[in-house]
Amino acid sequence: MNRRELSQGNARSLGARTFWSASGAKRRLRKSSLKATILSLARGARALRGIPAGDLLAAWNDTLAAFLDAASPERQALDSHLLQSTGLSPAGLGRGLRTIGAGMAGEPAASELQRPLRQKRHGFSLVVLPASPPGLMLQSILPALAARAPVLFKSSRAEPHFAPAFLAALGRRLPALRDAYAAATWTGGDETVESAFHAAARVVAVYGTHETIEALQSAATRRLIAFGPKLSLGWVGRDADLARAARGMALDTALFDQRGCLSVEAVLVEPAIAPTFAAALAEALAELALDLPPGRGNAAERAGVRLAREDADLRGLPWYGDALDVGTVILDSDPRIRPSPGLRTVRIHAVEGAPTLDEWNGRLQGVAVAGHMPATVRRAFEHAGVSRLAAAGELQATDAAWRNGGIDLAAEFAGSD
Amino acid sequence: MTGLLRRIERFIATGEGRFGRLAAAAARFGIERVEPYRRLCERRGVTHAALDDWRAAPPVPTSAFKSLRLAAAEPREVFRSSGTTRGGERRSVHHHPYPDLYRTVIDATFADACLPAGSGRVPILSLIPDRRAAPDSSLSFMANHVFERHAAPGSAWAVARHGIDVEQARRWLRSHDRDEPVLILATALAFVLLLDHLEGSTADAIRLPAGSRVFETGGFKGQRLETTPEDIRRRSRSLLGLDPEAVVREYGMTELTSQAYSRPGGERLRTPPWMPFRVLDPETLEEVEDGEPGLLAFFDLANLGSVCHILTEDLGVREGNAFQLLGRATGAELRGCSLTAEELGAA
Repeated sequence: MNRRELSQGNARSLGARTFWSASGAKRRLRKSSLKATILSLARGARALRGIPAGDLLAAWNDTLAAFLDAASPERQALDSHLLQSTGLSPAGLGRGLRTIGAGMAGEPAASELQRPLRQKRHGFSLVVLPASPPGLMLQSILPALAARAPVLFKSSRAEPHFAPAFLAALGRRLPALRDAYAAATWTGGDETVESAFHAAARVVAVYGTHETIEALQSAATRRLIAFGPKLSLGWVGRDADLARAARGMALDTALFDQRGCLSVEAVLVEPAIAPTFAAALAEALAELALDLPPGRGNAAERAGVRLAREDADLRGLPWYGDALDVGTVILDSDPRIRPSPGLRTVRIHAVEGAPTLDEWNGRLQGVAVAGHMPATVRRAFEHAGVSRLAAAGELQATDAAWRNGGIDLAAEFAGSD
Repeated sequence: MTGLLRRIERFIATGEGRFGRLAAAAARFGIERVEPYRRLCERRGVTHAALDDWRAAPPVPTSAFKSLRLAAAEPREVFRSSGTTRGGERRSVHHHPYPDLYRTVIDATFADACLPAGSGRVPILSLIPDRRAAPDSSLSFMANHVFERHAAPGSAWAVARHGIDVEQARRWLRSHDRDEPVLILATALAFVLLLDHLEGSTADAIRLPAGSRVFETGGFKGQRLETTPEDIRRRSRSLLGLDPEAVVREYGMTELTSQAYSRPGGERLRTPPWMPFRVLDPETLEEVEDGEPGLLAFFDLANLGSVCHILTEDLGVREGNAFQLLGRATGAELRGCSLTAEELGAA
């Protein structure tokens, strides 16, 4: 750890106000050109309406295939930037992108693109992307295409590469998309840019911290869709094959270095098997680190994991782990769930019956399931707002039909007006 | 026990005694009296009898105050951390058996750090709630004690039911726009809210007398405020007539009894002689070289009533005999699919 690491976020910035159109052109986003940019995006709606679903699907499938193939020219050009910006290991980046994208190709994409949704009026939507995980924009670009809705993607300054590269690749395959999709970066809170875009956007969808969302709520936007920070859990029933469950949970934990909302941060386990499962998960995480090496953790995460281990020691809790970034499993006697500090740290909570999740209403994203889940437990998760239940090892492998937080983005982009 | 407490009080008040000996005795006292700490030391192979260097006593993470009762004697005060605005998370609880030791610490540090040399009682405006409003806040305990010791007649608390009373604060400051230097006690958030209010006011700018000071503590606790220390200094000057040396930053927390202070106008924080700090490598918990960042740990003799050796959630870097804060360890905040640029690369 060195001081430079601590300021890399700023050092990696490409500079404020950069704009990429889907034609691949890059320019400075200037105050004087904001109005023209907004008008150009809004006009893109008309061109989108005339694109046959088959053409759209072909372009989508071809582009997505290129971005899931580490040997494609697009990925060859992109990966060095993504590795630098995300800090993921090469294996972690490749596996992560395949996981997030594989379910969005072929039939699921066709179903989505053939939905009878169309944005009828002029106008564009704004999607504010987080710094991680890379490729998250796939979950909003496909619904936007389905609704034939123009979108400006605001990339994080820390990861400004994926969105413009993907849009340019899409534009090369289907030039009619070029005016309707664009990416940009600017510093959050840049009033000049934000007030113009927020006021003009029909819909603003934001992935961000509570602070970011609260700030946007006070801006004059017509429709704000907030994907706030969430975490995911695991559930292990007493009949589960523990070794298999552990391998699955390890993968759901380690993908994207535990920085996604579908990353498992804690596992609820029936009491009789909790200690055995904790040991199995620790072993699975250590094994997985050989295939899926951890990326470049940062000082705050390393410090957070150290504190979690020290806290466990003081409370007399068993924990497993070696190097800080390979994984830590804590067998926590306190049933209350806490966010993980990261670096593949998982707390195991022994839970009898349905868990108490009142504190977490609206803040849980998914549950990775191994073994039988009683109906009362399922209801508790659903009541808490969980929008995805999947077999352990498949939690992060969403497909085009998944509605993050239960929100149908395509319908939102199409709008009722 | 009473003997150790008295010796520590004397060391804090007068400097008499040897820190190393007192610290080792305080660590042994904690092992003897604080059950969870004793068990931790046993597991680490640290025994009461063999402990003669405070550095060998394992530091306790501040998160332990959220789940364990760490009290060496029956508490006479119970302090709780404030938590963030969103709530839901557990709060630290510091069971404090020796509040007089806390008062001794304040007496030994506050005036030197925050008051102009030679000043007696000064007009004080507090934007920190008093003890009636926040009976379990250690900061309010401190503010009350500062009032008792240093406040001139006419000093005021500008605190409303749900926050600070910025208009009362503005009126008070206007009425003290002459003669004697004043002292403002505020959290960083409260001070920024005051500046915002003054900026929106149509009245003429206030010019506080030269030598006035601001005691500023804490961060913004989950508030997204677009501000920087430079911005605060600039607005303090234009709206209150304060010079750049007016602001003294304080670093304290519910889990510690003592505080670190900056020099007036400075950023680097210094601890008193009874609370040395170390910067530890998260991998090894070994002390890092000067200039290398790591986790901040403090050995606070005034924490005799709980645990003296504290491992904080703050990242810092040593610069000579002072430290700079760099950020926070991850842990309490949800981050999934919401990482900011700063969180991804920085920290």
